[in-house]
Amino acid sequence: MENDPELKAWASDWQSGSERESSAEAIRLYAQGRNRFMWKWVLAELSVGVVALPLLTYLGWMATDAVERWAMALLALITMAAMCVGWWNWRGSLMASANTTAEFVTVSTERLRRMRQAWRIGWIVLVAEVAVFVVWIWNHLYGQRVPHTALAERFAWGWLAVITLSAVVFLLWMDRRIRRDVEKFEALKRELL
Amino acid sequence: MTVGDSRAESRDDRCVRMLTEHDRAIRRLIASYERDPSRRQDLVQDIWLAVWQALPRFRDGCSERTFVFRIAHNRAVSHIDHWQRRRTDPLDDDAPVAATGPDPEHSLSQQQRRDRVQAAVRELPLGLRQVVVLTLEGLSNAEVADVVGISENNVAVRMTRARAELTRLLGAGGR
Repeated sequence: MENDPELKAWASDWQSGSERESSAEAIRLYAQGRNRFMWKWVLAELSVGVVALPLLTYLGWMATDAVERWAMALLALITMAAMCVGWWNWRGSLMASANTTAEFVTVSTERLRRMRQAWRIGWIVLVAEVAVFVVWIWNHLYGQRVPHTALAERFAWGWLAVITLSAVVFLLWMDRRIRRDVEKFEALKRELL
Repeated sequence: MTVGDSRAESRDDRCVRMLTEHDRAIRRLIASYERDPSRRQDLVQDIWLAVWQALPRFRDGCSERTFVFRIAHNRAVSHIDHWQRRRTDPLDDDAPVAATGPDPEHSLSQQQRRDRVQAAVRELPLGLRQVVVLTLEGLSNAEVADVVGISENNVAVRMTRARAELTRLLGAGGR
């Protein structure tokens, strides 16, 4: 730049801005507040797991029926998987400190590919979960020869339908979002590297 | 500040010092990626948080300036889709209006020159813009290569292309 007066002049113009300056206190408060919020979020996720896992273990242990035990074991597995994905996703938010922009874009693209794999596993888990719940509800309603009301029957199948539909909508939304992000980062990679 | 001094500083203090020292540069850098003022402020805060979180992994192998610019660029790159959606926004409505120098006419023309340079930089393709912004901030080719992750030769090539493009955009004489 020293040997290029025009570039030097542009740099001088570029740096001549009178932009707002952030106060040290504003930076400190914001960073501390958001950092605390993120830790609280992670702790909340862990707390759900800490409550849910012993409860599911207890219910599975106490169940006299094999179907009931399998259902509880599967739910415990899904809870653990959700906790792991949550943690992994949170760790991903720290990636901005990658050594270079090139590395950041490459790691981001790779992370999205892994999310796509997780998304595929999500469909498998959903199908398995629905299968287990169909058997579980069937067993509760018709297999134990215990009388049940029509309302209980409608509630059980309705609940399963709502849960399944919500999961399908979530997975379709995830698919759209992941596709868009992969395309975006691939384009950035082509442009930057 | 020496390495020993920086180690004696608490994480809070060091982070706040680094961010206040480079606040203007971060805001200029963001202005080249995002035109919308409220999104720009969001991006500034994203960068604060990212620097805060990354600070424990900062080693003294690179300068603090390179470290902050690297994080700022990485955050800006991941924010780029917002920029692409908003590239047709007509103008920056938070551009400073009041002249700050002793001579209002001189300050106004300087402000106009700065706005023109900023607008021209924003027109550049991302790969060129990143190199230009860092160069205009005073980083050497080696430092730019360190931030972006390309070779110094590649930085020089991009800078030549970017310079030609800026000359075209800013007109003959460039100012």
